[in-house]
Amino acid sequence: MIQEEIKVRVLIPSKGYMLTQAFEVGITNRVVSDKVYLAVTDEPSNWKEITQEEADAIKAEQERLANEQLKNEE
Amino acid sequence: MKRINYKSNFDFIAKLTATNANGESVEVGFPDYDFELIITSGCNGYSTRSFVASSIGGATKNCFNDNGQLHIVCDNHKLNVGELFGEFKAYLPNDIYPDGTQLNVEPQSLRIELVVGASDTPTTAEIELQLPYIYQSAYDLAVASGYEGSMEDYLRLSAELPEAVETAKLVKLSADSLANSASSLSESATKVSEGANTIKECADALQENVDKVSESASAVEQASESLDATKQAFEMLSSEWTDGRQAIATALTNRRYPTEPTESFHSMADKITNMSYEEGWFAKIGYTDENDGGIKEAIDYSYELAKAWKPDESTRLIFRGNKKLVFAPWVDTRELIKTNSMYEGCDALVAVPTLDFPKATNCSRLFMDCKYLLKAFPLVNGIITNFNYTFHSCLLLNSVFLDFSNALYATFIFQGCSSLTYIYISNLGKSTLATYDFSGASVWGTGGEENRQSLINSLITYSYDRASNGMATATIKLSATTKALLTEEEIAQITNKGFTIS
Repeated sequence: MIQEEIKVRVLIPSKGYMLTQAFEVGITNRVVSDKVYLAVTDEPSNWKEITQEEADAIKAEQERLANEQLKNEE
Repeated sequence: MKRINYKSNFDFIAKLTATNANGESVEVGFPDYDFELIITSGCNGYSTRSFVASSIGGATKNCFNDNGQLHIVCDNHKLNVGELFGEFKAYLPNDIYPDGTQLNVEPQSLRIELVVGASDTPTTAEIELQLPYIYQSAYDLAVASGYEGSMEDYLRLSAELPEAVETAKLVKLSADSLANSASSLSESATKVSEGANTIKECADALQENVDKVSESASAVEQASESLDATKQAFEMLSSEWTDGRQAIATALTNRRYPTEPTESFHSMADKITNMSYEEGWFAKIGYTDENDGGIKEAIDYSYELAKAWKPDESTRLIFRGNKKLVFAPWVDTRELIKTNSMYEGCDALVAVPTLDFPKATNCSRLFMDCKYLLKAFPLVNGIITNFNYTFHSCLLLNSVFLDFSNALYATFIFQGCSSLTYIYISNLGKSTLATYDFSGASVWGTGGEENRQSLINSLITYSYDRASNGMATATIKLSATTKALLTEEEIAQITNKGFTIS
């Protein structure tokens, strides 16, 4: 019988909130998530809670920029 | 005393005697040195007239060597009446004297009287003359110098000496001649040696030529072997050519297009082009020539497009936005670097053949909006940097194969890929890209273990260990459905490699 101990750090935002990177990143690299499994090289301090509205705004901005980029490349 | 009329010519032999080292009187014979005998007449030898007999430098005067004796000849002597006296002057060689000569003088009576009256019986008188020196014979000198033989031996040797000298002269001549011959021989030997060197040089040159001929012969032999090999290859090709024609003819005939092996390839190609679909794949599901569902037309259309393709980048967008393209043709894409938007908007496109993209770096929007595309060919050259929107809105796409070694952009790569269950990515995380949004592939990993395994392989098995290589954290965004397929252990494996899963 093999016994293993698995350690995974999970970040779960408070109810009504989402998680995103705590530091400045480009809008296309900004992640909005309801659960984050931290890499061994990552720290909880690298993430922060944002409201759902803020999360929605980020997604909307990402889509807008994506569409804009699509048009520019045409 | 012999009496001779003073008016007569007369001669006499002068028996020369000398005293040797032993005090003995010895006869000398004709002197071998210069001498003078001055004959005078008158009282006590004083007279106004003289007669000279001599031998100076080998030239005799008024005398001669008479078998080794000195014979004086008084001819027209003009001597006066009276007793004759002779003053013998011997010029003896002696180095101690400045002129090299010692003069010895011995005056003495000759015992001949010149008279007025009659002469005595006219016979040659023999007069003894005493020489004025101590006589040493050659033998005496030899003994004084260390010779130990007898006089008889000495005399014998002396007698033999002239002959020996002559012989020695001959030997010397022969030796000189031999030396000359040896010198000539040496010169000849030198010339022979030089000639031999020349011959050697010629032999070396000849050997070089022989080597070159040998090399040429070897080259000819190799060329001959190569020719044989070429001939064999040609015979093989010829055989394959004949066999190939037969095989094509047989295949066409079996498909109800009777064909002879002797027909031209163009004729065979035309038959293939116009071949009925009844024997093709579409026949399995009931398509016929009369009712092909537009397949032949679609294929013919694709074929025409392919003719317009150029392998450079000038025609890379000829398919873009094409609403009629159903079956993309194979085209030569080996030189393309930019393949972005190549099939963008081909919303009737169902299938694409496998294309080779060895140089492509930009695959942005490659298949964007190919709503009906079922499969895409692998994009695994390892140098693609731009995967922005590559499969955006490929609604029916079910599998992709990608290499992310150098991926720098992957925005919305799988956005809208609602059928994409199998994604194989190698080297995920190897580049500096820090955010991977795969959430658009909302059903990735579902529909069977093979699909889930593609998830595991992409995120764990073939991903890059960023943590071990000191790279910063990368974040992978997955759909909730895909995330739920991962076990805790698998999540730990992913996070241990430096990936945050969101």
